[in-house]
Amino acid sequence: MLLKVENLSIELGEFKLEKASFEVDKGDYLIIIGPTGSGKTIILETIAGFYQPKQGRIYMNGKDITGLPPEKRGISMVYQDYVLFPHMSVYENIAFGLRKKINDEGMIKREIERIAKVLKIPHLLNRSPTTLSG
Amino acid sequence: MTGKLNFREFCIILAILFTVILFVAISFLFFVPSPEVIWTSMTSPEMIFSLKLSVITATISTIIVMLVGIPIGYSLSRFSFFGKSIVKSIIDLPMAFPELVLGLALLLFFGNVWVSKPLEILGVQIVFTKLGIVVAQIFTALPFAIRIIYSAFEGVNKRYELVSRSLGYGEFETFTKVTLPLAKKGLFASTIITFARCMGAFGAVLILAGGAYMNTETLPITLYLNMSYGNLGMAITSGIVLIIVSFVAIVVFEKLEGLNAVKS
Repeated sequence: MLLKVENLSIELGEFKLEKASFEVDKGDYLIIIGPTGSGKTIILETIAGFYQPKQGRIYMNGKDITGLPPEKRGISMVYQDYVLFPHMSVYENIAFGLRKKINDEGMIKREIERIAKVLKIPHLLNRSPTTLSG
Repeated sequence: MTGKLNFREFCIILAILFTVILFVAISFLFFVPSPEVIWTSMTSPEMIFSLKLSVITATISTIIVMLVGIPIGYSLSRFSFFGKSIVKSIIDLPMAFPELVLGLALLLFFGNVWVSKPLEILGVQIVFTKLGIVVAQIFTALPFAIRIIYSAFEGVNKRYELVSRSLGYGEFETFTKVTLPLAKKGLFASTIITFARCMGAFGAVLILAGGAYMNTETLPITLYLNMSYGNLGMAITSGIVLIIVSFVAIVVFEKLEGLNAVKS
């Protein structure tokens, strides 16, 4: 099992979530549906490690990651908004995540150029994301 | 004319009237003494001494205030901890009471045997010394700095930090690579306001450092001492220098605030 959430209870101020459990296997898609304020984002942020659950466990590839800090979990979050760092160029935004995986700056550059070619954005690499429309 | 328009006019007239009175009052400082008197005062050893001392102490105090204020402002903005609201209230306290009272409190604290003796053993003397100026300036400016720093960090959406953490960056790395650069305008504004506050600190400096002629004499002390001697030219000139420093600080601050507003 890729991800297993077991009896997850979260308490954040007035927000409370009681005993959520689900499993996601490799290649699966999981869709969480609920009204605004029901805790969809908070569940994901707790799985990513931004909040500590009051109860319950989170397993990744069978390993208990409940107590691990976010940077040790290997789980990335992509929000609807606040996706790009406004103080970095497009190049730096792509490089930011890669620098934690690859130690060689030349290899990072080549990888970014490859990605940029696929996305047809080599001319935008030095631009600030705040100047891009979509 | 509608009631709404009247209210608008009233607000605008009040804003202009108050600004004009303030501007005229400040302008008087520049026109009362003759240019010769200003020049003589500016080049006098006392003025050069106090200007130098003010700039040096204010620079040291600003650096310390920012080094202390950034972690405090960040912790108040981001972390929940026991007694946070009490910490916030106590830090804000010096903003509410007069500088003289703050100076008195600092004098009683650093003059206390239990505090002064251990410091003396370490070779540190605060009361009636130049170090006292720095300490007084720090305690005068710190609450204001923390307020601005806190607002700067509050203006940075936490999700940027969460994204950075999820990409493998630790808490401190995220702080230095994401939070600090995103809050830099607010932090810069805080540095400027802190420097201006330190340059203009009077009551606390007078009581803790003594305000001794050509020893612990900063610009506001020069103004005060010369007013008491009846040397109006020197007093006004030190006032002019302080106004210029404050004016530059406020202009830069407003400019940065404007940039922040445009960005948000």
